[in-house]
Amino acid sequence: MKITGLILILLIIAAFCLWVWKTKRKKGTEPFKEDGAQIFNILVKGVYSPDVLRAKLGKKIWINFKREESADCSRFVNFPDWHIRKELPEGEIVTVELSVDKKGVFTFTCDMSMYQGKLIIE
Amino acid sequence: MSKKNSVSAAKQTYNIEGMHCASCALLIENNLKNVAGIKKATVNFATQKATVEFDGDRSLDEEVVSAVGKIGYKAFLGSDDEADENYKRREKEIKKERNLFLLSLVLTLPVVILSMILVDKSFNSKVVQSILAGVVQFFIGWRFYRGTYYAFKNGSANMDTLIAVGTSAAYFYSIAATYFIEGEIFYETSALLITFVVLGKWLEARVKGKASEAIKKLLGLQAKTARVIRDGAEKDIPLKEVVVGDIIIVRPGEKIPVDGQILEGYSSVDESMISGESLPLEKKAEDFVIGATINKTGSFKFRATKIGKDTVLAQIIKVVEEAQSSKAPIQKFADLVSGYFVPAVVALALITFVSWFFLANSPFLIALMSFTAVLVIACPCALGLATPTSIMVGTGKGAENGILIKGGEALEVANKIKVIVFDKTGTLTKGQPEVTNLIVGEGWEEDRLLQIAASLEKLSEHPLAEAVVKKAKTEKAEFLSVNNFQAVPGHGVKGDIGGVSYFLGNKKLSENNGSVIGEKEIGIIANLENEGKTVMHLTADSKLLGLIAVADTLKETSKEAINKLQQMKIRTIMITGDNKRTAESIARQLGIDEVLAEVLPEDKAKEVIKLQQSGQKVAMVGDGINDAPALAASNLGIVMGSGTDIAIEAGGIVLVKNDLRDVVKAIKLSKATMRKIKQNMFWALFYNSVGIPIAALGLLRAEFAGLAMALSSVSVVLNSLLLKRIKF
Repeated sequence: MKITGLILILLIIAAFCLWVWKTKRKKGTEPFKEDGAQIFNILVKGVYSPDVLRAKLGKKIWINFKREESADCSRFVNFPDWHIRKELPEGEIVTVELSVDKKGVFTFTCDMSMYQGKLIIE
Repeated sequence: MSKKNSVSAAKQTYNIEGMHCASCALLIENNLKNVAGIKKATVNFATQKATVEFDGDRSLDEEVVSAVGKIGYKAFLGSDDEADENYKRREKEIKKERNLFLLSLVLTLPVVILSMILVDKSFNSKVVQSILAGVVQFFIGWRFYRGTYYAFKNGSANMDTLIAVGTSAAYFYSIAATYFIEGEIFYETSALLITFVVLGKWLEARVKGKASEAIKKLLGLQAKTARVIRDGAEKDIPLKEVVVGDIIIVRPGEKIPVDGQILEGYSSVDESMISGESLPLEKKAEDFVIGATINKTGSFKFRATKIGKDTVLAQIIKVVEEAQSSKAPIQKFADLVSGYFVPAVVALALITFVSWFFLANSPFLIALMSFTAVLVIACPCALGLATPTSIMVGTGKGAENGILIKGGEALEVANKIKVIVFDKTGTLTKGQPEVTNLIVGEGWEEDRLLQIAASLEKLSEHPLAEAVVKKAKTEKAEFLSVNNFQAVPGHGVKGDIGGVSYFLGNKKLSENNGSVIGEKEIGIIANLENEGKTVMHLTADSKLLGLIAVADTLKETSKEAINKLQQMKIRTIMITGDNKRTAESIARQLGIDEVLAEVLPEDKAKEVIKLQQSGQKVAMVGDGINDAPALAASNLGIVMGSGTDIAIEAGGIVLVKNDLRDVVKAIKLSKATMRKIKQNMFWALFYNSVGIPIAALGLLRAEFAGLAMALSSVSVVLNSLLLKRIKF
């Protein structure tokens, strides 16, 4: 019984480590392009979906958020590197426009940081 | 969809609903272009908007809506008042949360009465409980399953996962114990848990609204209409139709609609809502007025100089909005923890279950209850809320008092400031120097000295030059034409008048052109400088022709501010281009700790960097115009605004009022805000690091763990709201 317990605990720890490893290796969603801009559509429902975005340096980025829930947690989206905080009214599409002049990984979160997304600029 | 429409006579923006791809946009665009009366149509798929230009001076809204409707999409004009609409929608959502909580409570109470008060263990009681708790579980709690599903689909887990898994474990075990196996039921656990979580969400939404209400208040300050003179007649028009140059009439008790300059009339104006200045200010012709402030006593006419996004109010709103979206560097830690929190808690809960059931050989029920308690007590929200709510309340409180803190980083640095460097002119002093003494050399007259000096200074932009020109105008001196004028930064000016090359500036300038200053003059200069006056030398052909002493009055509040900062153990330093004697005299009057005199404008930044090399955090206070490099070089630039022109770009903190006591307030507010952030962070970390082990050890019933979780984030927001009560 005890050995089963210990094996299970090891399995749980291994599963957690695997999740961390997979999360870190997430490749990210490519944008679709229009008028030279890179456009992403994000569904806000429990999480940001997709939550990892991959864009190219130099072109404007438009991120359309559609919040399909009333949870207060996700009401605002923050892009701290751009000093942007936008309200996401339920059911509406809100566009965040970003000008990017450097490569890197930038995070965007809800007010409480429970919803987290990554924007990778290459 | 963002509802913001730009309104002008022949151009209109419409929101478009139903577009799925770029070709939808093209289709709408082509259809609109075929409508008679439409000159140009651009449909943007990304922003879901169509911008239409018309041939005539009126927009054809009905035609646009119909043309877009015919091909299966929907076009509509957005609301004029986006903020107002968002506010209403928010109120509606908060109400929805409240109703959900009340319904959950009504359904849960009978379960609690049957199981905990009446302790009715009959089969009928179990069936009733299973139905009521079922409604709570799957109707009220549906959102948690939905959130879990979407998070899972995305390869992650969120707070919904914790609630859904935790309550499901309790509910489904009870279902099994009711209908299939022998065992105890605990429907009240799952039902109460969901009720408490929904209560927490409702309270959180309410208090969070209060934390970010600064913007709402600022927007509420805006006047809705303006009384303008158009075609010779007075006319009330909506604020958005006011253009620069409009002549606007303001009567007693009315709100000033936009920024502008008074043409005629006299009144007192209450600017407290913008600058925090409690006393009304006297305003007369040529004075500037700020939009959204309140006219008290008289009527006046003014010309609109700034409208829309250029007004002081709009700039303040922008700064506050940006500040509230920023994160203090301390938040990075919270973000990192939040990112791994939920999966880690799920892992811990599973380990708890396995430990109880397999390692401790405890009954399944105890293992399950501990598993549920661990899941539902964990609250990363408190950690996530710790910083943003404090920043929101702190920056909002600052804005109410005319202190604009530009973000979390500025707040965090302000808290660590040990040295403050003050620019002298315009910061410690009023920046309106006056000529106090004219001392002429042999064979010269005061009038001639003033005339030459003023003619040269008329071409300069230095504050001292203004004083000389003003004096010359008062004395009705005639200005002479100047050739080859040149400003020598940090020294003075030079130019040719009537074929003679004159130099007007400080001692260095006269020495550089070979002038010799006699013993008598040296004594006079020393006396004037000891009185805190700046002495300008007029020389020509290596000869001193005269001296002009200029004094700048200290602001009434400077001494008090310096004193208060010293009480806060902050070293105060004055930096100035003045000579040492003048600077030291002013420093003595203010009680300032140190003086950096004879510093050229371009060297101010270097001095700031030198101070930083001692490892201390240095703030620089200036007007943001000629000391921008020093402000940028410092750890924290504090810009003294002149009320109507907020130097938004420079500095981490902007003071709307020209009062140094606000520097003290800004530092106090920053310290208080950082204290709140630290308290919240400590509480959130302490709560989780103590709560989770308690739950894992089976010392807490799951429903109370849920209540603790719900209240922990509410308590963080309430603690941040206490900042509103700070007294300066």
